[in-house]
Amino acid sequence: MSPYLTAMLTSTATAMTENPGLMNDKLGIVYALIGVALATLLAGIGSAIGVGMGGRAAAGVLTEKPELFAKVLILQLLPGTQGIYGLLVAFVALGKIGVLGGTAPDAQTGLLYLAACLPIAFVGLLSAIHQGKTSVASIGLLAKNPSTFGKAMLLPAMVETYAILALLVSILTVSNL
Amino acid sequence: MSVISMQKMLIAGMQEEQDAVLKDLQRRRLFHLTKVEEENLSAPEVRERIQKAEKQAQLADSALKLLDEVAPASGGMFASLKGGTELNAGEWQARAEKREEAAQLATSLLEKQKGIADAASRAARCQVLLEGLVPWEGLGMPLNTSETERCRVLIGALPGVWSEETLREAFHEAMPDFDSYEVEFLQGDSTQTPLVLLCLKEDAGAVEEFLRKKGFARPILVSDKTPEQAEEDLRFEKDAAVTEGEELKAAIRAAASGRDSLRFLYDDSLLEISRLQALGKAGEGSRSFFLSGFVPKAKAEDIKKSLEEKYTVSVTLTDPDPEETVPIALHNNRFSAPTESVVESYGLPGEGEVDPTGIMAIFYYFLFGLMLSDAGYGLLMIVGCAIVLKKFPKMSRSMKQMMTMFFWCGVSTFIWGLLFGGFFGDVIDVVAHTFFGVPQDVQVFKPLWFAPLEKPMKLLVYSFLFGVIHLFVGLAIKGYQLLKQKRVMDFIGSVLSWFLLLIGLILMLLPSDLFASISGSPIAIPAPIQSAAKILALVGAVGLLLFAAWDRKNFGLRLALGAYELYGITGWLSDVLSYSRLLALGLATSVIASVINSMAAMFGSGVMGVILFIIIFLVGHTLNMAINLLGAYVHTNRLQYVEFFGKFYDGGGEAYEPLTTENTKYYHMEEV
Repeated sequence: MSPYLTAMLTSTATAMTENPGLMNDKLGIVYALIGVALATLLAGIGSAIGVGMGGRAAAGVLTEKPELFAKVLILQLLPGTQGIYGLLVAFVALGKIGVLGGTAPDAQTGLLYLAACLPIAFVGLLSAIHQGKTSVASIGLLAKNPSTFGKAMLLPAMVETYAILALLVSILTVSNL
Repeated sequence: MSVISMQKMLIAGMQEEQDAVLKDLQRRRLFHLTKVEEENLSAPEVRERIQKAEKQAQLADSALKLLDEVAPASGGMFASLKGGTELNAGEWQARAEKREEAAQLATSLLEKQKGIADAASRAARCQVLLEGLVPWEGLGMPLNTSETERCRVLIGALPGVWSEETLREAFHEAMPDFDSYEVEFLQGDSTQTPLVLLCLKEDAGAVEEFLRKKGFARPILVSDKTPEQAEEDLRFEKDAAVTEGEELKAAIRAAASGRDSLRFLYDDSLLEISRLQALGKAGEGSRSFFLSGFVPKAKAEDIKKSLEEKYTVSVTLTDPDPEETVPIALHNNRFSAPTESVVESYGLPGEGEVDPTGIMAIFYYFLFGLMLSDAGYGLLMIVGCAIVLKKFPKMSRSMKQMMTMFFWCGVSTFIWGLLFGGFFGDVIDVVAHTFFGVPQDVQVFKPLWFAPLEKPMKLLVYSFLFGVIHLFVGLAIKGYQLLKQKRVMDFIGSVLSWFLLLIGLILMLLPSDLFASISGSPIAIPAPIQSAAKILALVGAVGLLLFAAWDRKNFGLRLALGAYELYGITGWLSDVLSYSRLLALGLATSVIASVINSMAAMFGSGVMGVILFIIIFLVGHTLNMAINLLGAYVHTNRLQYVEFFGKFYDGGGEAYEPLTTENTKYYHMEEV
């Protein structure tokens, strides 16, 4: 390690130990906002992919059976909730970290917010994509047999359970921090 | 909450009256046909008649589609809610006598459609030829001129731009000795150059070969007229075709008044098809016929009496054999009947199962309201459904059921909204703070119970409590079903033992630290009850182990299966956790609603602020309500289907589908 770098690191460390509040205050909100962004981004992307898949399948069915519009629309929209859940966690967090209300957290709390956002971010992303695939299959089922709507709706709804569990952990953590 | 009890009805009568009897039964909408085991002699003939009726329905349908295309009927978006025009039996009969005319009208309309297509294709062909003629304007000779006495005349176009020089050079290159030709260029463009070339007949072969290589193309229309004459003829022909198409369309439009008769033809054909399909299930002697089926017990005697009065038939009523599959029709009071369709789409009660609709309806409305939990949205649902129900009394049964179901869901949503303090989110407070200067820390609209966002853990615990109640009711229904079938050992092994184990476990869990950390306040339970809880749980666990598979002779296998049943405790855990969605969805509605409100309030209290507030409020809440309605609907169904029905209900019953006049599209036969 070059002496110059060593000197620089030492001086930074000294500055941080002498004035810890400076670094911490600024980084806390950064961490928290990364969490908020991840929750919105990943869950939103997942829902967009899922609803997109459902929409394509639904459009295919509608060419032959336009009377099924309301039903396939419901099936298409099922993977859309993850994006809402991400948004929900994001808003609750924004209301606490000083953006829409509350106070800016220190670095440690900021990281806690980041960690709290991760469940809905990742589970939202993946569950929405898989729910989209299940919705596509259910739309196919509905096209062949329109009387099975109840069952066709249930299959994608099963996938959503895990997004709800993740949402619960995220939101309980964020609102109790 | 019950299943309507059925009686088996056997009808034997004379063949001459077969159609009349079937029509009569169809109008009554009560007779559920079953197949008569005997061979049906006239089956091929019936199939033929079915095909004929299907063809007529199709004919009417295509003619109606044509009419809608050429002369659209005024319908409006609520047309589907209005239901069909009501006709009584006499009016129906009078119209049915004119079916032949309607079929003729349909045929003639479809012929006109063919005529229109034909005229359109002729016009299109003329158009193509006309466009092909454009380069040849000013040719001044018939298009098929091919030779004079000694010369060959070549009419055609070369691709690209050509002039006299470039052509001469090309000729020179290909045929150095050849120069006895005459060429005249017509008006071309960048893609092709039309020209007329004269050469001696002896050179013709070589010249044509040369031109072919250069891509020489003859005009598409070869006729003995000059381009101008040909064009005039084509225009005339095209105009004639267009006029013919217009006239045919006008004729179709003029026939639009026959739309009603076509609609009737379609509906009557549908009814005929279902009658004929019933006929396929009937038994037949040489001069007689037999029908067998089920009718609701309460109406059976009436039907028997009136049939025997009107026709020469013999009607026998018997109670169904225990082994026989009896069709299932649900009968519930006005409060729970709307959720019958929820049960139906899962499956009707099978052998030894009770109709769960009545109990399920209570939980359905309860859970739905808890998930949506906004007084404003609930109010909108109540008002919306009430208006639709009032305004369109003749809509189909399933539509009416759905509207009534959402009406009650709306009531529950309204109540939960008041309990949790949600009215379009927190719009009352936001408006008070923004526009009326109420200080920020004063809460105007207070929840009657508590605000979920402030105490999420409290709602989580209550969600689990509601879940446990829901699941226990399901298990109790299973116990009731088993006891009703006198399967006492099964009841002890797979219901009673579960109750003991679960109640014991819950009582043990309540005073624990784990529960205290979730709910925030531990529940103190006296020591004697705590030790009793342990005994309860132990007895329950042993009961499951020993009696869950009591009917197995092999004791080792019996224990193994019992242990597997005991392992089902994990299933119970995940079932209860599943009710956490009540909290998640409830929070989703209220948080997003309040976000919309604060966004709307961002523009201050000026005039622009008010306008923007209203716009954002309307758009935002419409979206939020739609997406959360969907969520509440889907997840209420899921909780019923997976968690609740999973405890006691398989639903393998056969649906009661009487011969009916209800499957029509446009007309409605008056109920008898």
